[in-house]
Amino acid sequence: MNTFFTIVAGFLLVNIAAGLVRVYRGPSPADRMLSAQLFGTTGVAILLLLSQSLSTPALVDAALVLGLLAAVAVVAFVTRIPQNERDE
Amino acid sequence: MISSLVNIASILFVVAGAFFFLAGTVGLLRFPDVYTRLHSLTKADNTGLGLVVVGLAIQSGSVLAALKMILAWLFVLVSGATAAHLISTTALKGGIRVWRKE
Amino acid sequence: MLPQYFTRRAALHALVFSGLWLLLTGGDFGTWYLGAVAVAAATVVSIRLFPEGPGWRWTVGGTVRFAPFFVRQSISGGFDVALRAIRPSMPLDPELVEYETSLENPTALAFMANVVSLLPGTLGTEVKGRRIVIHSLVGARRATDGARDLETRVADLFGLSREGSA
Repeated sequence: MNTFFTIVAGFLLVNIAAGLVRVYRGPSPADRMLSAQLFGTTGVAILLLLSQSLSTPALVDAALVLGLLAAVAVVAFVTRIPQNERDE
Repeated sequence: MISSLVNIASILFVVAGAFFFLAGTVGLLRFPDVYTRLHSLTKADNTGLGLVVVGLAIQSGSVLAALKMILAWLFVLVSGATAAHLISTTALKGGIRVWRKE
Repeated sequence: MLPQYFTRRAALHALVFSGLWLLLTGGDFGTWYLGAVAVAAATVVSIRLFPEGPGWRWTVGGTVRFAPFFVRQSISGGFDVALRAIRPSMPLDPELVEYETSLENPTALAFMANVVSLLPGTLGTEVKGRRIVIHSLVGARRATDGARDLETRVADLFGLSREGSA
């Protein structure tokens, strides 16, 4: 069972890596910001899976914090970065 | 017997969740503009995380541990919805055009 | 300034925060003195920052009715968009729809604009006054119907009597 959870966590990690293609391509800053969302949500899933497979309950706390921080990153982005510098 | 049934249910939920994460990433790469990509990412990944949480919660054997994982899901739901709203508003105000079907 | 912290509402907030603390510490009572300080501080801040406007409050019954609706809708929303992403034909035909709500309370309005993004095929964007601009993948008609249904449920959640007619 634990092996299964680890494999799924690895699969989700590949998913994040694929999302990096969107960061590379853009084209707008908003498109790139989407990957912060991807990292946040998928990262929480990965940490929860690893917490189970490695029997490390503390990783659930790490997941909680990651879930909240992704939102902070987005808020910082929308208030600081001008959007209209580059379009499709 | 019961534990193997729980294991099967757990595997089904987690695999279904992983499928939604995959679909979310496919949408992020295939969809034509930032708004459609937001649809894909916000909704598919949130559903995927919910399914993974259910799969792990029935496995955890402790109500508190299960509730804590559900709490992590709620945090992600709330922050995901807020973030999607902020990004789309900023993009619209910044003049990023909405893609339309020809 | 003190009496406002000894109301039924403050007690309810303190109860919710205590539950949260218990959850975060994994049911460990050893750190209750830190928890007590944190719960008290969170209660004071939440009462200060969310003064109840006239005529609305977060209703318990509304929450119980809203939760299953929300879970069901967000799963079906995930399903809908996952299929669009996976299918080779990638059926997308987005349009922008403006929806005028009858919700006057700003908190309820902001809540609605956020939740719209988790429903099937709709994404909440700009909020102009009482109008929410919705980016819809399911056409104008279904987006409007969905928003109207959601509006009723949000009003129920916030214990608002709906002003005017929809």
